[in-house]
Amino acid sequence: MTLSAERLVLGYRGPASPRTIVPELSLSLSRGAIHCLVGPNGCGKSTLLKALAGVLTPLSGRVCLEGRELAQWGHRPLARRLALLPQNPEAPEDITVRQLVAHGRFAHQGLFGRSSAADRAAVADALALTGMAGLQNREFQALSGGERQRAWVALALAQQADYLLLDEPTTFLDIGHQLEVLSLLRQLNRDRGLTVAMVLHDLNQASEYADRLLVMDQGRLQADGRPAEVLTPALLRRVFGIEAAWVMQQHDGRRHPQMMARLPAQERATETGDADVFG
Amino acid sequence: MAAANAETVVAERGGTVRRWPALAMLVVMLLALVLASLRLGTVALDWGTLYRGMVSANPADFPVLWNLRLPRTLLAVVVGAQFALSGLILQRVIRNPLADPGVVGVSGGAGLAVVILLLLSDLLPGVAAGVGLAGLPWAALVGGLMVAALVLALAWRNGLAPARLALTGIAVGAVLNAAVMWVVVVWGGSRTETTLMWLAGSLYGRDFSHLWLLLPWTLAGLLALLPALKPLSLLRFGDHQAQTLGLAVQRWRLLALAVAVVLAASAVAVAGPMGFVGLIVPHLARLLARGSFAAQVPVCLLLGGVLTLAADIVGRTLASPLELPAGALTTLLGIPVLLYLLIKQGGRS
Repeated sequence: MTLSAERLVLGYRGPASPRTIVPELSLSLSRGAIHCLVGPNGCGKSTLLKALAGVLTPLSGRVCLEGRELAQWGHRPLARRLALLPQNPEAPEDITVRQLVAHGRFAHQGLFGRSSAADRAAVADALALTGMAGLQNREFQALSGGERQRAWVALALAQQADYLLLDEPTTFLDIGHQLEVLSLLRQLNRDRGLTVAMVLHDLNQASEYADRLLVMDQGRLQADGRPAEVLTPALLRRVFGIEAAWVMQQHDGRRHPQMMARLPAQERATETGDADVFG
Repeated sequence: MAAANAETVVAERGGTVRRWPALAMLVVMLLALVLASLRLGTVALDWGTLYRGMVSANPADFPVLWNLRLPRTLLAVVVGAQFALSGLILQRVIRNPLADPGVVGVSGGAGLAVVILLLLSDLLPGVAAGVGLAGLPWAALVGGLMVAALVLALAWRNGLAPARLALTGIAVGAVLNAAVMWVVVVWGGSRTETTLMWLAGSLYGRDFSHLWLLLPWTLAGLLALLPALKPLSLLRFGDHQAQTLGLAVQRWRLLALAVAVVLAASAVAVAGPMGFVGLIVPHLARLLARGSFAAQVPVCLLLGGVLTLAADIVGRTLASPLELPAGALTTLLGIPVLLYLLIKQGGRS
């Protein structure tokens, strides 16, 4: 019993006919695992994540949490179980970090509920975990990109949901902040059993942090499994159109797989051909 | 009480400390203006008369106070508070700092209804005589509500997208304003002055009947706002995020809009559109109570009342015995304040 999609068809209703993005897809998340969704631009991974979060209504099929369709959960009960960090979250103006994070408690408080000790503890916990406690009274708009992303993660954590869905949580972050966010997610996953599903672009990071890697292309699930088993040269060529090989790197006493990628020979030839013309 | 409830979502210590002096200052300003408003006018009342009139068991002995000054003063405060609150809600729901009650078509609809009623009373004296001036607020209310409903219906497509709503409202408003001007210019006749005075937003000649017409809507709007305080705070986020934070986004957006429409339409009905109150007061309130939506509500109510009452006092004393419409003064004052706020915000970001 987990978060699962059954014969899901996703798309957007256009003026004439619906534009299908995901033709049909079934999937069941593994409880307590980190899932990374990867695939080329426009392959439908963000669309799938939105449907799993219940913010995109499927054209057909259904998404269920513990056997119950998302639409039947009710907004607040669902928000206590499942949190989403969208790709480009919008922040209210003139709001402090603490005020922002406190909105994560709405699902626990209701319309008239006052902030309880549990609410304050959850907010303090979320701020501490993300390293934002020292910045909690700062205005959100005055933060740097990395700090903002950590504040958004803190907002999602304050919800205390056991499923956390994130759409490209590392975009716009420098490498240090990228690793910071990913390590935090891994720590929460290991310590608190949080089930994480996120869209990532960097295949190295995805294979480093994912327990389960889901590769999408043209709305279909092309591969699903442990990163080392999934990211074969054949799959990478088929899905991303690249020639890739894995090299094992020794670092910190551990062996890390590192992907070496390049464009296929034919396309490289065209490139050098162009260069020759100009040269 | 409402503020305290919703503060839980957005509790902030820094804000609370600065907020109470601001609120106290606004209350003092409002009381001072109320006293000034009761005293000043074509016939000035001295303090003694004012006191005797207020405590008198027989209000009929003090007609200026009870028939003119008191209802007009109270009306100015309530109308200003409603425009300001309506603007605050609309700016949050439409997520556009330039939104005001005009943007959902309320002013345009009320204006057209009023000029049509005045036109009818000219063309069909027999039929419309009974309706007359007393019918104006009702016509304006119905017109404002109907056009707001039309704007919402036109903008609705599997829910309300803020940008589409704003564009629809502006388009409908422009058409209605053109229609109003056309009716006034072509058929204005003997009523042009009354019409223009109403369109500018004025409290001239208002009495308790207007206040009684307004108050049920005031109360209904404020009561409906209480459960919507936290949802309005969440509506400031993107739709997807608000939903996954636990909010039924479309339901609350519609309710909040309905509250804003009711507050604005009923205020327009009795006083005409008070230019810029609904636009600038929310911005000023945000300076005084940053971040927390619930904290901005009382500041907005008080500030709206203060601004409109001050405009009315100036309007009737500046060129006495002539009356300048309060709405013209709020507009005159509002534009430089708006420009100042824009420049200030531009410098910050």
